[in-house]
Amino acid sequence: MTRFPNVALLFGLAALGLAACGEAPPPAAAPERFTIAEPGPIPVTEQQPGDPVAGYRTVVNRGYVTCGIPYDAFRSSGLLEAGEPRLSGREGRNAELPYMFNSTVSGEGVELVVSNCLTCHASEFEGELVVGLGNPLLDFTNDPSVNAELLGAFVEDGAPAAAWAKWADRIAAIAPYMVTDTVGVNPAPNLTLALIAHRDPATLAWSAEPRLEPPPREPLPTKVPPWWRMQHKAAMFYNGSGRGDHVRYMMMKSLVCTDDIGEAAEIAEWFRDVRAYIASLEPPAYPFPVDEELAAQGEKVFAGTCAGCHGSYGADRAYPNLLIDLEVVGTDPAYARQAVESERFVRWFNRSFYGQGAEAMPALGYVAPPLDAVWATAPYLHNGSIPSIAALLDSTQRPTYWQMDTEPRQYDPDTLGWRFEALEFGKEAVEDLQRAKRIYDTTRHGYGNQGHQFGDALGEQERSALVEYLKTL
Amino acid sequence: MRILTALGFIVTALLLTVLYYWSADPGEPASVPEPSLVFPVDAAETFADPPTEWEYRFPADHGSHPGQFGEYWWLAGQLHDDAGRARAFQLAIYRLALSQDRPDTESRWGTRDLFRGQLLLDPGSYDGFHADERFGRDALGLSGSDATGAWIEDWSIVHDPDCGCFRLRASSADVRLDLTLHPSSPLPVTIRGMPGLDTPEPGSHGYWWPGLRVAGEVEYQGLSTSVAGDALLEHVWGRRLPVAQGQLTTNRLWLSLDDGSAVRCLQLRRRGNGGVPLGDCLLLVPDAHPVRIASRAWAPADPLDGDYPLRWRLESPAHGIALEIEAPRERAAPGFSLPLWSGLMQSAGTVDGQAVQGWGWLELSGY
Ligand code: HEC
Ligand code: HEC
Repeated sequence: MTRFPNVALLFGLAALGLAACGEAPPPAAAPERFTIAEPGPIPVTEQQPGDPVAGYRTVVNRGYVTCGIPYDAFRSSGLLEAGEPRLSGREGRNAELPYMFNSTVSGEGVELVVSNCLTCHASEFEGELVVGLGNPLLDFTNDPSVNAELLGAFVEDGAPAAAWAKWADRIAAIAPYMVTDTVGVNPAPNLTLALIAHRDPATLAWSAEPRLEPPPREPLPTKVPPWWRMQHKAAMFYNGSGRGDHVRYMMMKSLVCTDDIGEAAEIAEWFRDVRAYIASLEPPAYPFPVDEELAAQGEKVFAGTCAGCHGSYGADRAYPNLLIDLEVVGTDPAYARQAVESERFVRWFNRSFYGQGAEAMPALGYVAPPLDAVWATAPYLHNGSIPSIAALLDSTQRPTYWQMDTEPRQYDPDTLGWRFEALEFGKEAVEDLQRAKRIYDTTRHGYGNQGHQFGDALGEQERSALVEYLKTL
Repeated sequence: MRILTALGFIVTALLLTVLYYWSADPGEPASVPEPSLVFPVDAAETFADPPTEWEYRFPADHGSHPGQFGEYWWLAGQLHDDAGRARAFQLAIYRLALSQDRPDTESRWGTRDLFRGQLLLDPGSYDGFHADERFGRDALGLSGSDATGAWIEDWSIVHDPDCGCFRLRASSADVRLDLTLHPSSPLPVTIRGMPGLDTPEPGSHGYWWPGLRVAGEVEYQGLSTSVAGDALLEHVWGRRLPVAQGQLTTNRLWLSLDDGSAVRCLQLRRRGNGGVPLGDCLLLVPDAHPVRIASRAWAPADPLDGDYPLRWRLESPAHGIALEIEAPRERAAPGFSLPLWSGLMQSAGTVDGQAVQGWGWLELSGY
């Protein structure tokens, strides 16, 4: 299993839909929208048409992040070897880069290596790189600005130096908001908010000092959802806050470097195709044997206990796009609450270029996601707090403290998760910092593994039938 | 981590370029070859990173660490002679290995280690200072390192277990130093890697020993006087040693203050201003554990303009520290083969709210 030593560098970002605690002073005249969505079905909005093939080409070849590392420095620092395997469809210089980087040329003519979506949205399963599968191994526990700055040692004077400095300054601005204390959890939403805090919503101009009160320094943990859910989801993100035109959310990674509307508009054009590509992705098929008989029993259990929220699959497929009240689902509320509790980022989004045709709408609830190939997406829940489906369906099996086995990482077809070790102690009990970082501690704020006890009432036999059925999705 | 490894490699390759340049025949044209030509590309790679933690053993660790790719012994101090004249000095000896093993050939590559030394004497007056640089290789036996220390011809820094002290000897055109340095604390402060870089593998280990009491003789321009004073030693070994490169300058400062406290700073900083300075400072107050101060606390007093910044500030309200640090007078860079500025500083301000002053040493490269 490839492990990526330095995600610190490969930062990226994604989602909107949550924010800091503490009150944001509402701007004097605030025509921009701020609505807290009610639980229930999320209305489907028509999406812009696009070409999926062109969309994939954009994802793996284009510079939608417009600042980065000068190519020469990238090469001489040894980063070319930072990651395999290579992807199909990589053109020109892209073909020689690790899969989580794209090649582009800056306005000043400097060849740059920039990060792409696959840093977070691609992962290995049984030796294959699956594009669209969230990466649960990323390590955001180190300050990324250190490596960004160190790369300067390989940068030539002149235009490359200026290009590097712009990028390194952006990393330094968001670094304090993206350092997690647990390997595997993702800070993308928080670092997106940190970027928003520096930008003028009207012009997208960057200011060195934040214009809005920044988000909290400690990012809440999120896991990276699989892209293939977007075939069915009416709204993006765990709390369903990404309503309206999905293109505008999917292109938010450009918030790192895009400083004017002209550039943003060009990227939005490209991302019509990217959206079409993401919405066209099919989930992978379960690679191990399935007990069809048992799965058929499980289908019945699913229809009785789960389909009401998660929809039905197979021939008479139906997905209800339900936003479930926090009280009902009972999972860790911190992520949903944070989004609701501060308005300033939502207001910024809704009146900015990104909010044209889209409306971010936080809610006190989580979307019951489509469960296609859910067996591939461990650990589970929005915060990745439960290591396997077996444990999700039987809350007595959920470890309070656990650590994924990574040397090597091994898939367990009985429980549908990566093999892990349940521990008797949390981070505090461990002196070695490197070890402590690998422990998932569900007693910490935002890391809770409570709720979603819909499997508890089932019998042992029903649960194992259900697990078998989920393999067929 | 990978970046750091690469960085360490490039850094050492750069030093080697300089060394190769020297070791080539004197008559060769002055073009410096690509590092990869200089040196089997994987020479640094044949050396593993030093272990994550080093088990220090003294006096053994005062001597050479032949299993490690690079190493330096670095001494500087401020002295007074009988007549009250101030004299400041520095002697540093760097060792870099070409291979793990001593080759048995008699060729000019029949060398395991290359050495570079730099000697500075600041006579404390406006009429100049003395700087000299030397290279050596162990093949010819004139330079070397062993369990006591290192030497390049008649420049040497060695530990003498009988007195528990260090001896420095060095002579060059106008200068001769013969000094004995006695520690005033039982053990040095250990230094793990490039501080402030949050990596499991430190890349180097070593120690810093401020508060050495110096006695001996200094001869300058034919005048020999006995001297006494205060000095500090730094000895580091590993695969990554701090050298400036690309857009980053390397800035190093050591202070010795009259309340008995001492400071050591190591910083990588953007040559073009801005950015996040990497590294840190250590504050050592008598009878206490060293305290780490974030690198931002130490900054040039004026914006960088391409020249060596010789006025600095160290300000950390959390530690009650506010110090102004500046060179006692304008002085040019010594003109070594590695472009750097190295010299005496003076410092005044407060530590823990108390007024202090003292001397220090600044070494800058990459400007
Ligand atoms: C630094 C990691 C990271 C990068 C880089 C990243 N994302 Fe994401 N992405 C996330 C996380 C974490 C979420 C979940 C946030 C949430 O739902 O609240 C997410 C959510 C999404 C979703 C919503 C999925 C769903 O089920 O609602 C889409 C679509 C998406 N990202 C597309 C992209 C695209 C396109 C890019 C590149 C332009 C990208 N992301 C780059 C981390 C990342
Ligand atoms: C009342 C609605 C509801 C019911 C009933 C329900 N779920 Fe869920 N489920 C949710 C919500 C909401 C989430 C997201 C919670 C979160 O991420 O915090 C979820 C998450 C999940 C996930 C995790 C997905 C991932 O990738 O992290 C799985 C698996 C799942 N449910 C399976 C089931 C199964 C199997 C059943 C039937 C035993 C079931 N659910 C019943 C609402 C429901």
